[in-house]
Amino acid sequence: MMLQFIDDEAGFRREVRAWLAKTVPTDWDEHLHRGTAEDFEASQRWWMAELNKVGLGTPHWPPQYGGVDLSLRLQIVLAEEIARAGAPSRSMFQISLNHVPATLLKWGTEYQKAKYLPDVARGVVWCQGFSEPGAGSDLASLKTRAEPCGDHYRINGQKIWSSYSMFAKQAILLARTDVDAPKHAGITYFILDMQADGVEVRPIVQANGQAKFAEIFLTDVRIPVEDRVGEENQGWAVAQTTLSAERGVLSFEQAERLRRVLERFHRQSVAHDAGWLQDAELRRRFMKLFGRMQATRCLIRDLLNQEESSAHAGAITSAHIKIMASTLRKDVGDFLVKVGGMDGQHDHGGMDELSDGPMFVYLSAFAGMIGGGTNEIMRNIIAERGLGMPR
Amino acid sequence: MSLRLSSEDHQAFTHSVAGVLSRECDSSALHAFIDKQAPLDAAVWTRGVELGWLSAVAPGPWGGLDLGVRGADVLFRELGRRAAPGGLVPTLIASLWLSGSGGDELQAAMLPAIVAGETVVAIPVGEPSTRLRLENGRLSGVAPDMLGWSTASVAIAPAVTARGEIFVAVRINGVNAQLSFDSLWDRTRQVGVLRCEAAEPLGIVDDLDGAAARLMRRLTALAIAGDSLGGAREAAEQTISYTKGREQFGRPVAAFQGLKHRIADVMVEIVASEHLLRYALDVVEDGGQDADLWAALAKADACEAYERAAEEAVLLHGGVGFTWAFDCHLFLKRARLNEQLGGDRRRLRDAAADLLRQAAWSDRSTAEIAT
Repeated sequence: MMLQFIDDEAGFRREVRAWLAKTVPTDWDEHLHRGTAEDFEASQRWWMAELNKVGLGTPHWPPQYGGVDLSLRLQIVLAEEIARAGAPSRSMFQISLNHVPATLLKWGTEYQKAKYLPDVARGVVWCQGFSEPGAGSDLASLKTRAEPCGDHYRINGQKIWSSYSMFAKQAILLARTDVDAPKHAGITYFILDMQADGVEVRPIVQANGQAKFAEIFLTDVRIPVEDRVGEENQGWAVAQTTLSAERGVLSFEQAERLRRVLERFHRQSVAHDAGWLQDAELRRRFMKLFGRMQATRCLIRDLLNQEESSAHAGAITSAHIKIMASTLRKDVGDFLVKVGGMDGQHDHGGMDELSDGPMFVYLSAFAGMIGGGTNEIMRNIIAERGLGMPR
Repeated sequence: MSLRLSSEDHQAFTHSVAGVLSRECDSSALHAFIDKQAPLDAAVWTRGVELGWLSAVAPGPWGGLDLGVRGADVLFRELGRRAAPGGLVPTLIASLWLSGSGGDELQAAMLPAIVAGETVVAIPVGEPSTRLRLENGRLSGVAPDMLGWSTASVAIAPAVTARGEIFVAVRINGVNAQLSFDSLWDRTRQVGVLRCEAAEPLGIVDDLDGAAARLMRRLTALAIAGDSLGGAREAAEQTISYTKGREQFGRPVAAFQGLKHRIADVMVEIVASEHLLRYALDVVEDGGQDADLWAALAKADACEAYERAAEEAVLLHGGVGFTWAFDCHLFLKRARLNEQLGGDRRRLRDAAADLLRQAAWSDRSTAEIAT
């Protein structure tokens, strides 16, 4: 139904809004505030299934893999409406929906695309096995070994910070196939079956109390040769495609959600004549954040418009967005904690982008400044690649 | 609504203005001016008039191209980038204000002469003040904090009459209408006091609803924000260039991560402020309801970014950054003055907070962006 309107932006928006209004329960996030990991997983799967029922699961994909090549404009409209409705994010599917198709459509074999993409569209969860205890910002120094053994590779090593890996059926994996080559030139990219023998996932409890990322231990795990993505020792180039999928509509939706959090908080404060509105310093601080929120949204729109024109400019803009958006989220959290006073110290749990529980927003925000390339690495990118400062 | 340049034309305009100023208002010309060895203020004014900068922003009927605030922004950024001295900035603001609030008579009396480069205008940039009174058609009293230039021949200022608030334009004749300037730390600017004694105004605009005053504040905010971001970019770029050439411990200091990260943070702040300003310009140009809110926030952030970029420029240049011979102190002084022109960040964010609260009462979002 909604996809009948892909040539009519206003009509598409109207239909999406109406569908969201009747599909998203108003109190869905309340249930999750104190929920378990299983509640979260069930909620994510329910939401993915609802989207799939109406063709909105992966509408931006090519038609042969179940999408309709939805234009960027309409992807933006969809993300805006989802944020406006306060509908769930699909954080559990972040790798499946963005990183996996970006990588496989460019580097995957026909066998891989045909085997994996339809499942991804149906809601199979993937995770990312890139970082290691000894390879964080210096990802290329990773040590997990992949030894060629005829028709398969044998994998041994340890991965970490792998979000939602406890729910994942597949992983994208980087492992070293040549220990003698320069570090970037000895890495190969694989698809890992998380149910395979020798794969063990141990969740890690985070500072905000959730356990959404985990360690993955790999002991003599077999990966068939047909699940290698790209050539042997070409993995670094393949991984760049994966990492560049982290920007775009995803950060757009997050920024739109943060806008809703700020506006809702402000409206409620005004309605209840909250004390902080009388405090000049806090009031000014809020206006500063409100301005930065808008600047971030404008910058993200810029990136989406320039995406196809220049990969280099895109990488620099992405680094700016990463720093701006993650710092803003932290500063919003900091503001909510200050304003929240003693009440703000009470733990009522929380749900990612949707929560405005002060300490939850604040604590969770640190993840954004560290994950996906630390903000320090982003500063290096801006200075070295953007401004030409020497390494 | 004013004409919107295509992005190619906008770039070409920027390129042309930037090219002229980089040749004729470069660092050495600026220092010669500061040291009273060359009349750069007059040279920039004359060149700007020749190239039609003043006609660019004026409305069509007065011989202008009607490029509005978005067109004027190109000039504010490039003039700011070169820390250009002279009366162009207040005169451009006055021209925009006259186009929006002036009324036919005052426009006819002033805009042709502005477009022709014959009039330098002084405008009010301080706290709202109405110490000028109009009685029996004559203007008397004092208006402080007028941004102008020693060559200013007309001043526009708020005043009161028996029937309420007005704006007046008055010719500076040196007799019963005088504009006097004290020197500022920022030598590229002149802010002075207007004193009138039964002066005959050139024109009057009623401002019972305060719209003319709001327009003046809004335009000043946008202009100074543009000036600040032009200056911030130049300060940052000079710093980057200097640190690439300066070697210590056997390598360019630009290779040290401590410096890189400070410069990256400056750039992030500049880029964010540039986007906020561009958004504000669009809202203002489109006649949006929240124009005052976004103009105020844009100016507050732009001045903060400029201050930071200028401070870091001094520090990252090391010893030479503290010398008169380098440009860093010129940016630093202009940044600190800019903060005061048209309201400092506290005042601006307070004003924006009031507007946001009003919008919240009527359950209206101020943050819609057309997609």
